[in-house]
Amino acid sequence: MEYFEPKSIGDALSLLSKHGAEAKVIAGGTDVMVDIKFKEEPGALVNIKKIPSLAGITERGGSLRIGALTTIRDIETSALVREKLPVLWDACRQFASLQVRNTATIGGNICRASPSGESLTPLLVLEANAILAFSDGERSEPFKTFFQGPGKSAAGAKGLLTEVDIPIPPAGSKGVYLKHAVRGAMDIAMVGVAVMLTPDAGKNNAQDVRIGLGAVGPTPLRAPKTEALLKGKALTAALIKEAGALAATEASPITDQRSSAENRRWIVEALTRRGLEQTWKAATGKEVA
Amino acid sequence: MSEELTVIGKPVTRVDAYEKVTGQIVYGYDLTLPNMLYGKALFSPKAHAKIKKIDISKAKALPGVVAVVTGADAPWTHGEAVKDKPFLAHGKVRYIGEPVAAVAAEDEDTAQAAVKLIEVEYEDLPVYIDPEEACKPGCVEIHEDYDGYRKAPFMVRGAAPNINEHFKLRTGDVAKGFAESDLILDEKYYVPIIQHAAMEPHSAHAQWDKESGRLTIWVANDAPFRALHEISEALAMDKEKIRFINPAQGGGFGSKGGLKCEPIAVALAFQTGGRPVRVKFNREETFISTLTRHAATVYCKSGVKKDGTLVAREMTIYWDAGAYAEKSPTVCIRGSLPAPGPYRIPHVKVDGYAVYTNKPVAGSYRGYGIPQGAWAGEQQMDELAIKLGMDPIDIRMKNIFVEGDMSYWGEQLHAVGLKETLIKATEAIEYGKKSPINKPGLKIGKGFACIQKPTRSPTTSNAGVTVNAQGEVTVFAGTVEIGQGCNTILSQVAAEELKVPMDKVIMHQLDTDVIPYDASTTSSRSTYHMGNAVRSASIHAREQIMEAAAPMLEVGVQELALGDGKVFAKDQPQQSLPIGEVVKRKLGINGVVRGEASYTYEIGKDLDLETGHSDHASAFYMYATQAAEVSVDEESGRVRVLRMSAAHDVGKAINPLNCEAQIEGGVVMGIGSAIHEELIIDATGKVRNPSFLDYHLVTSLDCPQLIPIIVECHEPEGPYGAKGLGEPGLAPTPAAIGNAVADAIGIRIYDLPLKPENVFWALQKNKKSAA
Repeated sequence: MEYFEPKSIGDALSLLSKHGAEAKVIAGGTDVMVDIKFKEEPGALVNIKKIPSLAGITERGGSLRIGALTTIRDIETSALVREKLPVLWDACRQFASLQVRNTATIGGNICRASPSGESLTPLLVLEANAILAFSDGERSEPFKTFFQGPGKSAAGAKGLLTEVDIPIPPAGSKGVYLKHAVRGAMDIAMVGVAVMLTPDAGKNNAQDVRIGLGAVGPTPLRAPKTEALLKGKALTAALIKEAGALAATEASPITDQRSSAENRRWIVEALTRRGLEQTWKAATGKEVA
Repeated sequence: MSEELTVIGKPVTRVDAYEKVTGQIVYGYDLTLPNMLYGKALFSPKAHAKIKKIDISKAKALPGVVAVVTGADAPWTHGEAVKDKPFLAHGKVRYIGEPVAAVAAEDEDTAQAAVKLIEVEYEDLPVYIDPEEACKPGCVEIHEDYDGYRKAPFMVRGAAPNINEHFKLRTGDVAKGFAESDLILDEKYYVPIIQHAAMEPHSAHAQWDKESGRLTIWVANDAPFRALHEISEALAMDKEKIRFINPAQGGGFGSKGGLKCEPIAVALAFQTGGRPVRVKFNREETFISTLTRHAATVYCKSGVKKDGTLVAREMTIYWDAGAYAEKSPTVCIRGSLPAPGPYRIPHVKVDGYAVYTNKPVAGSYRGYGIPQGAWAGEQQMDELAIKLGMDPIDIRMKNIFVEGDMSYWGEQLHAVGLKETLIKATEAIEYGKKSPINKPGLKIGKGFACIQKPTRSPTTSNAGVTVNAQGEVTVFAGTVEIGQGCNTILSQVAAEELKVPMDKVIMHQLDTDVIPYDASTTSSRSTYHMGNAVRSASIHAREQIMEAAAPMLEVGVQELALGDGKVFAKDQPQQSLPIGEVVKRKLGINGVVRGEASYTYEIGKDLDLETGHSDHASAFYMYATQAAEVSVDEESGRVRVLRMSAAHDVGKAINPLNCEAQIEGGVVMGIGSAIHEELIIDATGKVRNPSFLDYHLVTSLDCPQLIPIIVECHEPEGPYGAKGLGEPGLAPTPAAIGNAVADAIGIRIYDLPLKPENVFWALQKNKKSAA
């Protein structure tokens, strides 16, 4: 295994061009190191941690820009993120353990493209974009099309994720991330559900509702039918019950040692309902009637 | 002794705390030896298969490889109760993870690379996963040569295939008992395979010196004398030729007994020209190729009178032994015998079967069969109470063992602190009082469970205690510090009897060339057995010092007393001599006074093989009650333990701080086994979750409020009245939590673990049947 520490994005990209699929990018290393130890070594390991200015959270225009090397802990403790992107903050604080959060980066979590990755469903519902660098230039890719399967993304073998661009949702919008796992910490989600709700001006109806489903498909998913069902309506117990059941049909889970597919659907239903209840209450000050 | 105790019963800080917390201690896993080679094993990918061919030529040719061994180079078998386990597979494999061949090389990577070059051809045999299936007529014997194996005399071979032990308990007439009962419950319970998951994985180092013919093994084994015996018997080598040295051990919980890495290291050591070899298992190898806890299927039938009086209990337990017997026969005996619970029951019938399957080997695990029986029996006690409209406390109070009771295995009981544990544990969580927590979708419940646990008997502990001219005391005891605190407890005993400060006491490292025989650091036996031995050896040393001091102080021995490291005349305390000074005056500056003692608790007579009866089956019995308060998420099925009390009858707490730590550690381990832990093995015999990613241990965020409670019911034979405590900490935990979950949701769940999906389906099933 060859090891590289490029000092610039350009250097990193030429290494990736040269080594192609043989190369593996490493940042925090919380996943890559485990693979090296227990699966196989890549031909080339490209450590991007020495590239300056890839970490940090800044507000620019109507967006928050988060550098790929920003640790999950930095996002979790950012007042800006907590205020503007509560759904992302909620996911980051439930991410693995404090020790892992101190090391793992958002870029690594994204590029790993695991369906259960904690930050992924929030980025989907926030309709964020991945800023990707290639040797022939930069491109902005919506997360909706970024994730292509477990471990597969639009960055491919030769692209580098440099930043995440997240449009700040309208004021008054509220979001939660609900995680179903065996344990209270250090655990992979069996199901993760991100819900974001924006009320209308009078706080009477849900002007916009977005629902992201994690660990119930080959990529993190949105639940478009469920969202359409809820848009423009006041949330009632009957409506969110229907929404939960509909979301369960939009998931396409598998059975593995962590959970059965059927159980995962039931959990999607329950967490969607709870996510709607909680965001409705936070956004309108009203209980779901 | 009417004298006041100076250090016994005090919350002394652990003597090994500093070197462990600062990372100075060297664990077996960290040990490197000069000129050492690195060993790696090839593990079977087949659960049950004939080995047609092994080709090691490519592995041998790899540069850096020093030795490659297979079963042909290691034609030995070993086993404590049944000599059934080859050092490396002989002609066939019986589980996925069985060591088939091994390599010693100059570094670990080369060894691993060479292992991958070994080619093995297999021919599949039928795979048995379920013990009840494996013992059906017509099944292939996993051990076709079973009848020819050397077996312990107490073993009873079952009539059906693959049964390596059939334990029987017969008291009264259960048919008559059930006929007289007003209510009968008959249920099936299941406890899955779990693993100890000690923080330190497994390793062993071995060196063979051709000149002296000596074999030295460095291993953190919890029973070095038993392991030495097993190796000596396997190799037909004199015990004097074998030496075990114990480096520090990073946890065990039963997993570090028996032989796992040791046989591989020994087989390699004979081929390396005298160079030592280290065999180290990583976590995955530890999961598949060391030991597990027995899965158990428990059929439990109970008959009671309307007033709650237990009349009859019948239990049939299938203990899943895995591919080799290891400790299954004794787990079957000592787990099945007390399984009906700590109650007066006139009619009892128990059949325990330890059954071979094609799964990783089950062995000793903290609790030794008690948690499995309790999971069934204690849940059924609650169910009986509920059906009779009684309080679960009342039904137990009516039947529970008290001082002087005749047990159903024919032994009259003494030092029974059970009732006090029941009262204290249930009071501590306000059992019977509704919880103030009120959250939609969350159900709260409370439950408790009681256990009794015997200890391995009869066994022997020897000890030596020396006092030098500097007044330093060295204890030679074969108890292994596995993290349980024995070095502190035994130091307290020596310090107490010789009246020296704790920092004057040194525990000698465990080396079988130097330390006298001890049976094992298992079965919660050490404080009692080794405590008695160290106490007597200390008294022996003290008597020699007093005898020597009497003429020096010009008073009679009877006039002398000890205190603060000095011998003094009782009526003239200022007339004193430091004990080191006494040794020096008597034996010179390099003199040493040596005290020795041997302690054996003889049981009355062995268990009767037909009835399971004995007038004294165990040196002492441990009693405990634990009570849990839980919440259950009605939609996801997730169980959270909110608080847990644990009241344990320890006889006498030699060190209350250590007792509380033992209880807390046990409870936390028990919570894991109740709500998460399960080694998932598929139909091909493959472990699906051999890592901490999917084998869920409890983290600090899953820990409830813990309320440890020490109950002291004096055991007259124990040192200062002490019994044992190591194992019971987790024994009633799952049953207590199971009862709390049933109280919360009104549904009884019979299978462990109570992980979200299992609870979820129980809730769903209930919804359907209600609709």
